[in-house]
Amino acid sequence: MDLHTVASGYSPKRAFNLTHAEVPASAVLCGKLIAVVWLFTGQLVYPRAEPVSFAGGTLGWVHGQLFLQLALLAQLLAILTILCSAFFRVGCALLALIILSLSALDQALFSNNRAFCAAVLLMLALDPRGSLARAQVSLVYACAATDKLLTAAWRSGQFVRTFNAELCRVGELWSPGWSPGGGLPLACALARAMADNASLAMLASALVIATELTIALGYATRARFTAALAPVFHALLLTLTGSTFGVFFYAGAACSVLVLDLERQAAPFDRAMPYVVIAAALAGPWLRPWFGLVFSALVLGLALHLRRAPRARAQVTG
Amino acid sequence: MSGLAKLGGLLLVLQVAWFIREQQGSSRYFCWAPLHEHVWYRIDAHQGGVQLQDAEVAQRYGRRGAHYDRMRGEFWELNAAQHVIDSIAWREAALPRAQRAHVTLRYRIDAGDTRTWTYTP
Repeated sequence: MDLHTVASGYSPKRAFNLTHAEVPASAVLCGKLIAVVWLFTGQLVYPRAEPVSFAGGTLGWVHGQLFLQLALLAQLLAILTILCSAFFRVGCALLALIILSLSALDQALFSNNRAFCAAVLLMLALDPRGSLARAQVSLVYACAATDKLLTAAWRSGQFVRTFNAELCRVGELWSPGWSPGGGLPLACALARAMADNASLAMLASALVIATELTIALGYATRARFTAALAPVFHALLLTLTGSTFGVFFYAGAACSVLVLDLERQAAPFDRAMPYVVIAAALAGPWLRPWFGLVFSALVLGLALHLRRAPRARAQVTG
Repeated sequence: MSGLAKLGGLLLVLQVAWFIREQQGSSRYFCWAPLHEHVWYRIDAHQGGVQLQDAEVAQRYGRRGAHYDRMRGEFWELNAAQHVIDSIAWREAALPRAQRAHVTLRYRIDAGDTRTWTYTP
């Protein structure tokens, strides 16, 4: 493949185009949404001056300004390739490998939400049908639920009870619109209720675990209800904690389109534009915890609307 | 199934195996265990007999996403406590011996009893 062919594969017109020779529209949309929120929420910036790798040592060249600039440039190139080129899978693989490499080079940078994005992007690159990406998301939720089931503090409700009490004291956790110390009325109400009633914490634990297992099962069986349940679950966590947990809120919602046949959705939800607009609206510094409730209502309303709407279209045009 | 898809399937299987392995210990790296536990901790570090200030501690061991509570003089984060311990141990081990600090970490998992871990150069 020569340089001219590569260059002509890039076009700004592709940004909102979900048509791809081998990848279904839902998989393309999922990858594009993850790339967009990676960019909008500032995940590109490599934050540590003196990283320590998982191998236990520091690597001199990782400290340097040149490395930071190259890491930034490589991520921008990968995002550009995902959004605006015919080489969608190459872009996904590139961004995934960069995220994983940066995590491996800096133990303090490890986070489940960054690894989640990398894993889904990698699976989108390896399997054009999107089946592996759905299996990956299913595995993530299944492991999250199983780990909680195997943890005594989760089974007894101690985690949920003490976590809510600390949340109420500390206030909002990080989000793009973080207001340090900002009040969390839902967390405080739950903390008070759990202090009075120990079984409520156990019930809340069971509810979280059951929801994660249901989402895992939904992705594994490609059940359409997952497209509503997963975003609502993450949105309620946003309202409770004030946090998007890095990019988990966005990536969790983005992956929910993997269970849809986008080509069969009623207009305009058979195209990228409405989803990208919603993602952008939630990714800015104006984000507040109560946006989670509005987003939940929007998702549930859309789910009901799209169930009733005719599914006549067979072509995704952009 | 293409070779790449087989590779993807193999990666999924390896993740399950890694999840099982991580369950044997106290860390939760790359095994999809968000909110496994929450931990409050305080780090006291002495280098050459001089105690490092809070800002120096944050600079030396600063962990992405940790919340610093000025009133308590403690950090709070939603990761396994072992990840904090690894951060300190690996950071110190990566320094020349003369620059290493004696570190005492006092931490509480899920608001439980206070535990202590020390690093000696």
